[in-house]
Amino acid sequence: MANGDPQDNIAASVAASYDMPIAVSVIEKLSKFPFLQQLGYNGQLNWLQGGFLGLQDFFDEMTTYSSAADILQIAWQLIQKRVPLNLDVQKNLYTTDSMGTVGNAFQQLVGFQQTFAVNPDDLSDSTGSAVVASNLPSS
Amino acid sequence: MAFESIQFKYTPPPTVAAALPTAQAAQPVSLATGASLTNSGSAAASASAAGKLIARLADLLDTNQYLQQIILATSTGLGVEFDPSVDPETARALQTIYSNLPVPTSLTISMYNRMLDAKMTALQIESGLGTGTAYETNPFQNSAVTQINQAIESGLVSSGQSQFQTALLLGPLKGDAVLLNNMTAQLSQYPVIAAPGTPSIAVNNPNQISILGQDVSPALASTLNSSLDSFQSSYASVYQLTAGVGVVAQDVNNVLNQFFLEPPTNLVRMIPMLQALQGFSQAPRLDSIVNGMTGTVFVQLISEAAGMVTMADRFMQTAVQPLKGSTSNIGQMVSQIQAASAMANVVVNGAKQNFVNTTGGLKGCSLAYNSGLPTAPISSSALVPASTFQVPGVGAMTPGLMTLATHLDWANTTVSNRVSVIQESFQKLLNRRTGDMNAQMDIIASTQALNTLTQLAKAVMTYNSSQPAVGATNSVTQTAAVSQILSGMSSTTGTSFVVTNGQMQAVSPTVPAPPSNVQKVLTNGGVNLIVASSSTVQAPTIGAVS
Repeated sequence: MANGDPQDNIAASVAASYDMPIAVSVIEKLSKFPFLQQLGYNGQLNWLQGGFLGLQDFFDEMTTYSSAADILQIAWQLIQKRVPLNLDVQKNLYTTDSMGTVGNAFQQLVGFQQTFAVNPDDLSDSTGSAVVASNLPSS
Repeated sequence: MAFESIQFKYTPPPTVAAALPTAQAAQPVSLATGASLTNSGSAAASASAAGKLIARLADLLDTNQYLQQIILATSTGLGVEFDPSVDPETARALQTIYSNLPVPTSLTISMYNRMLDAKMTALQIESGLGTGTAYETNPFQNSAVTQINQAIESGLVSSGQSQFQTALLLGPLKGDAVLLNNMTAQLSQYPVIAAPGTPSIAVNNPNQISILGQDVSPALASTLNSSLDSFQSSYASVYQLTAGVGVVAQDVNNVLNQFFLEPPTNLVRMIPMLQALQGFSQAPRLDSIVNGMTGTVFVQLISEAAGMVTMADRFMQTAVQPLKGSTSNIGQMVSQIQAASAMANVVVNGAKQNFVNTTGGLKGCSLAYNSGLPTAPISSSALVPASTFQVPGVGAMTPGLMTLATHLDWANTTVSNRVSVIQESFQKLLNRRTGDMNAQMDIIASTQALNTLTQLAKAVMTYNSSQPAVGATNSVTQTAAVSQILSGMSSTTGTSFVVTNGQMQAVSPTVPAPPSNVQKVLTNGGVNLIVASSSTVQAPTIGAVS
């Protein structure tokens, strides 16, 4: 079977796992831009940790510099074991099937800074205007 | 599979009468109050044009929900294959929506149903939020839902099989539900529904206009009823398509007879021809409709237009029309201006009876009238008699009063024209939407026929390749051959075939019985049999029948 081919015998248990209402999330417009910045940074986090601007560059430069004197080499050997750990970045990394390793802000894509959420069933006996009016915070 | 449970209070007979007793019809419900109109104590509300329209909308909404349930019930186990490595964009979207679940390898119809719900919910929330707001629906979620929807729709369209494509009708139906709900909410704002019997003004307050009992105007009621007729007809067609027996399946014996008589080489030619028609014509047309503007954009447009139409209608009834018939001094001045305008449009002795700028309705405002008002600066004499501008009991209209009356007449004409345009546009938008839905059903019905014909032709070829040809020595009779083919065949439309005592029956898909008010809508829309348990098909009568 290829991607997009029709299937007529999908297991009920599989279908049921994904057969759930999707609540629509409402956010503040102002929170979008800072979050996009955060996502931009998080999207590159995996490369930053080992790239030219990251620890790999620091590691190379320090190795070259420390080779100039024995005392520096001894000090650098003690330090370099800790360098690849890159703890601050490591603790914020998150691995997904589809996006690979990214910053953990991607975990919050759906519900970030949510003001309120509307379930489709909420609109079965009401209008969008009424639901919005009852959910929006009073200014 | 965990579809929403389907519950109906009424089990209809196999054949439903053309008209149901009024008592069986669903009670109209007012969205504005959430209370039944007939229980609100106001007979005027339920007897009003707005009340009747709301009742029709409630029945159509029930029919809409029922048809969605039929489509979902007949789509169990259906979906499209999904490979994240081929379509990583959709995989990412799925992970956004189902963040706690693995990326699925099948995109199901039930999943599509949920995505459409989310899409329509977002649409309604955006409409509710309006433009001057600090809030918005989550753009990542919207984008993910759209991405997943497109992946599923693309698979369903390119499947070339009507049993999959029928699920595409969920989109128009859900959009309709938003529209019908919105129209109900707009109609519920009319005073006759929103506040029946409640005085709208303080007693003896001369500065307020009474709109007590204001109802939908006959013109708008006629427009809306006409549009609802179109919805009704479309819904009847959806029912026939999803719950009925296809035209080829009903006539399967004649088709099979001819297929047996046809040289096999011709069948070999026919099959790719039928498939080519599906691929070259039906699939691209269906794709353009599914991805067209009427799906989503029109839902928003029509919702907004519905608000404009009802507001304009109420404005006409509140301000414009009462002034037209006013017998006050100013009302009579307006009438005189209208009389002058009527004279100006009459041709006498080859000359159009226009105003001149010295006596025109806007005399003194401008010397170069370009307002569409009757005026003729090049004329040298007044062709509308000066007596026209005399008001009984008041005398000649002064320039200021003439300007007042002319502007009132001008406003009257302009507003009336604009309201007509708004109503006409609204109806055209609705017609375009139901038109696209009907075109979609035509294509799916054609695909259904193509699927069945191809399936039958292939079955005959398979039979001929494994058995002695019908009519040859030691062959079975054609009836027996047809029986063998049909008894093992299930149509792609959910229709199955049963051969009992030499009689063949095409059995329609099993669907839940419609509630009584839904039956009424379907019957009025043109469906003769609401619950057709089977359609008898005659045994073959031509060819080598023993």
